[in-house]
Amino acid sequence: MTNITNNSYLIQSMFGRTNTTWGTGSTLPGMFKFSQLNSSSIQSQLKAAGIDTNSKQYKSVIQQMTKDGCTGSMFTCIQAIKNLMKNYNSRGEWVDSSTGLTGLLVTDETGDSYKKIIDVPESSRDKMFEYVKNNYLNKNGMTDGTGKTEIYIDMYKQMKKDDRLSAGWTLGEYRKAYSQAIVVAIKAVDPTWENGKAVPAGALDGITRESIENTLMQKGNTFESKSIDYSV
Amino acid sequence: MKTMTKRTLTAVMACIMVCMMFSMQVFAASSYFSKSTTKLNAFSGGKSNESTFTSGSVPEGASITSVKIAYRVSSGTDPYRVYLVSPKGTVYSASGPTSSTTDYNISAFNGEDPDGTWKAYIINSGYTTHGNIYPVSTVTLSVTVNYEY
Repeated sequence: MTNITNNSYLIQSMFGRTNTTWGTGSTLPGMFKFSQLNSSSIQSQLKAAGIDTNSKQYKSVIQQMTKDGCTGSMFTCIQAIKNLMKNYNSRGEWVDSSTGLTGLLVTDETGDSYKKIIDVPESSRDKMFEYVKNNYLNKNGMTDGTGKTEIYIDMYKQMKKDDRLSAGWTLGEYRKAYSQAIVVAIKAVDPTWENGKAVPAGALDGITRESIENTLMQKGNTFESKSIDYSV
Repeated sequence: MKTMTKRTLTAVMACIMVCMMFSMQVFAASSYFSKSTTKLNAFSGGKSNESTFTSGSVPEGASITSVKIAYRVSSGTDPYRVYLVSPKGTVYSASGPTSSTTDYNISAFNGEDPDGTWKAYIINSGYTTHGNIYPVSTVTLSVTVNYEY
């Protein structure tokens, strides 16, 4: 869908008129009251602009505008509706523009229901474990700010849309479990160890993803260790 | 007999405490990072530029406890939605305030890893309440991420 860029606001700013309003009752070209949306005149204009008013994209936009507080007396324009439709796919689902993925949006109404443990790919758990272990072995238990975004995005692409938020939560809980187990193993060798200190040589020998996961049990929406024995 | 019972009880309590040490998440400390976005400007239902910021180095294993967004809203700003994306890819969206400076605490990211690149942007909601020529929204965000480790 073509992105229509309107720079009239910027031109107005250049000439010192940042907010130009019009009197009650007058209408600037292109703007119409939201209450006129379903009139034959506006519907014709929408169709002429290439907007399918029967599409799920269009309906999602109108629904969102209404939820955001748009009432009949407020003004909108065809360009605005067209631009908003770019955020939805043909099924009317909101699409994250940076990843092209759906199913990752949370709002204040979403709550915590998605924060639950589900099955996630072993390959993703492998990558997460190696990343976490490397941060302890080679970066003294600190991260470098680059994050684990690629691990999550790669996993989301393997999951169904409706499972992505829960998958992200689950992989995050595995991350914490791996980290806690590694810290226990380190402190078994050096009880004074803390993040930022070099990890004692050999402290993590024999620590594998499987050895940690074998000690985990699910408790609610997180994991607990049954017991960890890293006797040296 | 009474001494044995007392010793047994003490041993059992000690075992329970050791088990709890291994089973409970124990966070010793907390910290935060705070970043401001560039000015986010969006009009006619469009999306602003994406402003990114990184956590910097944080302890591995850290967990977010809360995120606060402070808004600086330009006068005449029309309704918009703010989008904050965590390094895990969770996209939090909410209607933003259209006047003055307001702080909001959000819990959507609680329990997530703070490490990595965050993104923030706004999308103009497509209608004007200020009689602007076109719907326009301009806002700058300050995001504070609190975490424990």
